[in-house]
Amino acid sequence: MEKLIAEVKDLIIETLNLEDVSADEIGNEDPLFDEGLGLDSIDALEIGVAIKKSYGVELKGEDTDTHFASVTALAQFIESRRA
Amino acid sequence: MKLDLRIDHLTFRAPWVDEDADLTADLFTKPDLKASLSKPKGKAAPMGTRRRMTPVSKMVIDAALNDEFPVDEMDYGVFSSRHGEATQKATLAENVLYREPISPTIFSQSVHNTSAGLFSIFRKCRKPTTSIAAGKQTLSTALLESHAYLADHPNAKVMVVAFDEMLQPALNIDKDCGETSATYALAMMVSRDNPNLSVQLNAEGEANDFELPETLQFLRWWLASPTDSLVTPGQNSLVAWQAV
Repeated sequence: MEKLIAEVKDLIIETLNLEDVSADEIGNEDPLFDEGLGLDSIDALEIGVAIKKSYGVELKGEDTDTHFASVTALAQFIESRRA
Repeated sequence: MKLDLRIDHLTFRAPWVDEDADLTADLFTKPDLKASLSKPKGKAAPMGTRRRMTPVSKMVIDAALNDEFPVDEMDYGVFSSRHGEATQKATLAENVLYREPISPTIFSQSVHNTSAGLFSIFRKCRKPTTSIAAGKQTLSTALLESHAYLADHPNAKVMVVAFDEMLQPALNIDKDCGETSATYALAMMVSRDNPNLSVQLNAEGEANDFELPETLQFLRWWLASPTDSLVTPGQNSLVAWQAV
């Protein structure tokens, strides 16, 4: 799981062009939206597209609030769907 | 048709020009259009939006929103670009072709008036703007649009931002006609009193050369403080430029 978490952090940084953010600065349990990384709904769509391209996992009207709660939550979701 | 106009406050940005370089005709003598001497920054854009902007949009914002250009004076904005966000559109077409998911960011930044929209949002500017593409004649058509607006609003000032992006080889369909595509953004303020430029549309004669896009040919000529006229190719005829 640690490897997948690191991959998800890199994917978020690259996909969203977060030039001033390094993977070390994103805590595994930090919220991705609002007071955390400060992402918004367009970012969520963009991450969804990137996850589909990279892992073949698609989010379809699921409990996105839960899956996008943190990097760990996102990694757990990917892991559960690609297993 | 002849357009008598005054142009002021020319501000130019291009990746092949050092940001601190003086704007002189020398820059356009034998430009290395593939050089990477400066990077578009989009400094005037909020950080959250900036990371989603395309390089060409950032360059437009850099040209129009900076300390040198008196953007507050504008009454009307004309954004002119032959190809607009061609790179974004090509990416979308490729995604569709290969049945790949489409990036919402690329989709949202792919229309021709992306830069005009971003400009009005960043400036909270409710003044009218338009976006023009007119083939080889894109700059002179932007000046025609300015002229039409100034005919109705003689004391107004029109901001013209002419910009483009070097095309990917597959999209560069005009390369066989001799015109090289290039990345650049030029902002200038256009008004009617005390004209310093006369543009004759549907001119006759012979074009000087048409290696560079119309905007860059114009700039090279204008910055050399010309006494002779410049003749550039239009879509179906020629355009003659004369300093007044």
